[in-house]
Amino acid sequence: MSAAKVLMTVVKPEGAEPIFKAGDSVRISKRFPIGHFRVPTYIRGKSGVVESVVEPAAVNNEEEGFGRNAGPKRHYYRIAIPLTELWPNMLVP
Amino acid sequence: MNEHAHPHTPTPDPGNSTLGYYEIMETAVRELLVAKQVVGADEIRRMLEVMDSRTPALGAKVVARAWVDPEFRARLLANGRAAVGELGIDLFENTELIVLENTDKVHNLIVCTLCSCYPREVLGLPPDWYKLKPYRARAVKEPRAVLAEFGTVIPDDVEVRVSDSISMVRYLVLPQRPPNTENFSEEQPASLVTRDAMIGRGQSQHASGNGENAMTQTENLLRQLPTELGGLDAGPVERVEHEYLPWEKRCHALANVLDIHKIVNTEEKRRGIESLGGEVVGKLTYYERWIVAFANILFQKQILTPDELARKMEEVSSRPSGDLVRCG
Repeated sequence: MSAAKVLMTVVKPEGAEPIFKAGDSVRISKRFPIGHFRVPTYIRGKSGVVESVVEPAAVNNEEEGFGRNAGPKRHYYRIAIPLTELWPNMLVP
Repeated sequence: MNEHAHPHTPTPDPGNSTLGYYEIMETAVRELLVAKQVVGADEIRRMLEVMDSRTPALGAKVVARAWVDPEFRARLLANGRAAVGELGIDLFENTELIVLENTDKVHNLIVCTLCSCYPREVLGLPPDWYKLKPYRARAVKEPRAVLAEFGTVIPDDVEVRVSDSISMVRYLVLPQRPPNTENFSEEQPASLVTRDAMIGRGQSQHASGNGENAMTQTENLLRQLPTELGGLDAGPVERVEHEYLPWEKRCHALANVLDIHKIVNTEEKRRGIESLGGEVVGKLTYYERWIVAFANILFQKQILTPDELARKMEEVSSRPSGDLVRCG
């Protein structure tokens, strides 16, 4: 097998590739769990656009809050949401 | 009665009654952890030095370099952590730095509505107003009004972007270079770059309404954590800023060391504070919440017991005042 063919058979582990990319339209989940959760209430259910993928992938910080210091990693994303989407009753000039 | 009748009983010294309850708690927790070799006394001393070395002057140095060196600026915007590392500014592991540039069209402001994330490794400890409700509640809802309270008015044709730190990302604002600084050398940054500018200062106008659905009383207690403030109604941002007390800095140094060793990581501390409940969160000050949360978490992990902490606190509070502050 040539070197080029070997490289093309590399498979990445689960979670190593981001799910979203810059420019994707996304909606923030609308779950309301009890306890330590890192999705602010004011953005839940709101729509926005991915501005960038934060690297590197990291442990889920909601689980980290209970002492998980290692384990599967996932990506975090910087999401842009217009203020008018967040505060529909807001008066704008 | 002659006080020498009981020669082995020392005369009580009222000196330590001046020490606050939480400082006694911090001292007791730290000394117990050092005695059990969970952390080292030297580590905490060294961490205090690390913390003292981080001031807005470091951030100003980063900004000044970006102003004079376009290639550094590009690297800074692409990977903040790596770029500030070039200047010898290391960040604690698991945090990333995103630098946001202000332009003629965009003005950036940073906030943490869930807790108090702040680029401490670059700017030092944050001012009180950044950690208090008015700023944390209103910055994401009416940033222009908040900025106006700081005296900064952003024109209508400039977009205001508020960045809320909710994960391991820390933000730093790269302010615009002032005009007429062509002859500016990199050594003159401090007077031109303020700490507040690196958090972002701006303004707008009044907004109102929150559009929240009614919920039952108790459901509401569970749905939004007592520490989460984004979008809540709050008063004006007062520019309060206090000098950090020595015990507060020691508490922060202990927290950093516990996180580095993953004995109690930073996220566990945040969760521990949330678990204190609304009344305690509302009535205790910032570092008082920290030390109580740490005590609880250390009990849960069976590293300390409530009884040994109580005994140690009693011992600490009965020492002659001159003996009290020692780091180990």
